Amino acid sequence: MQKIKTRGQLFLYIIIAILIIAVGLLAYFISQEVKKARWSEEEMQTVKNGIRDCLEKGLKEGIWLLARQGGYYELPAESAEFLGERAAFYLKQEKSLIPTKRTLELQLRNYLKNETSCIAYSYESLEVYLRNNRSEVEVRGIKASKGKAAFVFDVDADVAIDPLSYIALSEEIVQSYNATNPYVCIECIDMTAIKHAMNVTIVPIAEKGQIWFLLASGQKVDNKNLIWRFVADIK
Amino acid sequence: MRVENRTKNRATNATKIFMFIVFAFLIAFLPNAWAKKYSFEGCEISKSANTIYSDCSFESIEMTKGFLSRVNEAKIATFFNIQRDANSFLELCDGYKNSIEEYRSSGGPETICNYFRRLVDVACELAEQTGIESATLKIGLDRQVKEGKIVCKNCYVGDLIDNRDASDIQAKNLEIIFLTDEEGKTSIQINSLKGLVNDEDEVYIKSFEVGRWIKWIWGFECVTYNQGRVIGGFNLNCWDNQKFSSIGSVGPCEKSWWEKILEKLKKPGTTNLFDHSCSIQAAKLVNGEIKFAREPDVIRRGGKTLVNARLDSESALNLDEKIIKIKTTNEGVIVGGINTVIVAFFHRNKLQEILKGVV
Repeated sequence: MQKIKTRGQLFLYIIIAILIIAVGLLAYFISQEVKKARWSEEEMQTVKNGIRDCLEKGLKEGIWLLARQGGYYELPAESAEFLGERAAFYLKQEKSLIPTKRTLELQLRNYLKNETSCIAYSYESLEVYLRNNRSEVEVRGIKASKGKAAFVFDVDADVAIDPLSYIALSEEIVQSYNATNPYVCIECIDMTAIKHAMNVTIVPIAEKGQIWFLLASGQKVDNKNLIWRFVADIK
Repeated sequence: MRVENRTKNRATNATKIFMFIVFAFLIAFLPNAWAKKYSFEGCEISKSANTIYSDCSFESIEMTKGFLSRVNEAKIATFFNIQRDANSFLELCDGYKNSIEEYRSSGGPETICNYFRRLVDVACELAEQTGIESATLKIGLDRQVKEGKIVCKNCYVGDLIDNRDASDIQAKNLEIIFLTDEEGKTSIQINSLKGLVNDEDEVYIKSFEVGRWIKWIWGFECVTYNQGRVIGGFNLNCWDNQKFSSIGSVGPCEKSWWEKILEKLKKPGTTNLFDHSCSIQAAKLVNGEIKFAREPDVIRRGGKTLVNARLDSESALNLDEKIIKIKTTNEGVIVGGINTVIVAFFHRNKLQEILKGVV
């Protein structure tokens, strides 16, 4: 009788031990899952940095493309082509077609939206601003999800390239050339170029009635010269 | 021995055949070359590096012979193959002039004497003017202008104005009338053979700028260089050393070294070809402004150098480096300032590299 009692107790202890282990394991697994569904500070920073780096790269590449095409990602109707190279007209039939600051910002924004995949999450807005000699992109309301856990954040990125400086020089060149078309006033453009600390190369293509202006400030993007190009017609 | 003779005969025959072929070739091609050399161009008087040259060529051997016989009769044969330092040439001037006048008084043809005299006058004037670095004047015979009225179908205006073979401006179906007023000023009236030229008519005058036509010769202007700087008027760049526009009625020009030469060239029957400064060109009146058939390549306005974006390769090479910074390379021409360059006439691949910013 005593033997039976002892055996029953042993069984009970075993059951209790198994239950304790099971509960412990369950608690452990649950805690792990909860941990997985939460964003750590480190993880959040990594995601933000990844997006920022990507946007900076995208900004540089976008500005490089815009520069080649006279400030446009999507070329306007008034654009020129020569030997496969394309650029926008800034002067045609005495009409100035220089893009505004807002146009440049929108063109750069469209480039980032269409040509880069920096943001794998949904976001509320992406805007590009050209200010303080820098090009900036602001992405607001990025919603990153992790299981049921999500966090919302903003990312700003900027590069020290100022497209507006090229536009400022372009405006002066166009004004000078428009006054002398079909002539190019060497001294006038030279003085302007020196004032803006840039080099200007002028390529007349008489057969097409076009004159291409190339502006360079010595800036490089990924070891490539940043050349701002625009076209004017020859009377 | 027989074998040796046979070999010798074969060699002789081969030599004969070879000589026959050479002679046949010479007979076939030499006359062409000869004729080409003497196709009519008139005479050119040049000055370069203070040396005076004269060179004449004619449209046929007969004409050459005829001309040379006149030259010998006038005793000025040395003039037509001259290459002398300007100062030593000047010493010969009076002798040439006297010889021509003696020939005239001894019954030499008036037209020929006038032509010889014009050549000598121009050459002596060129030699005398120290301000001329280089110039070439092409002087043709007076053949076509008669009674101040010329009717021409498909000929050159240059021909019409002074009987020149200038080919810069082509005209067709035109009647050109030279009018001289009491003061001796010459004006040119151009009528269409279909009726007076007006805006509705087809275009009549074609400038040497390909594809560009003008409807009316409005007038002529001139340009004046001084020490390599354009100081007034308009510049018609000579586009090469063979073809040139003409000097017809000369508009208001600044006094200059070449005006004296113009006085001598204004006579009918003169073709002029300047290296450095040309003088006039066809123009039309558009909205009250004179538009020239061909814009000059470089002008100075308000102390600024303006380079024509339609700069052509030939005239680019003739641009005066005293006016603008110009660098010619095997690839093209670079005109520029300190931070600005205009590149022109580069090979397309090179242009593409420039546009891409590779260079």
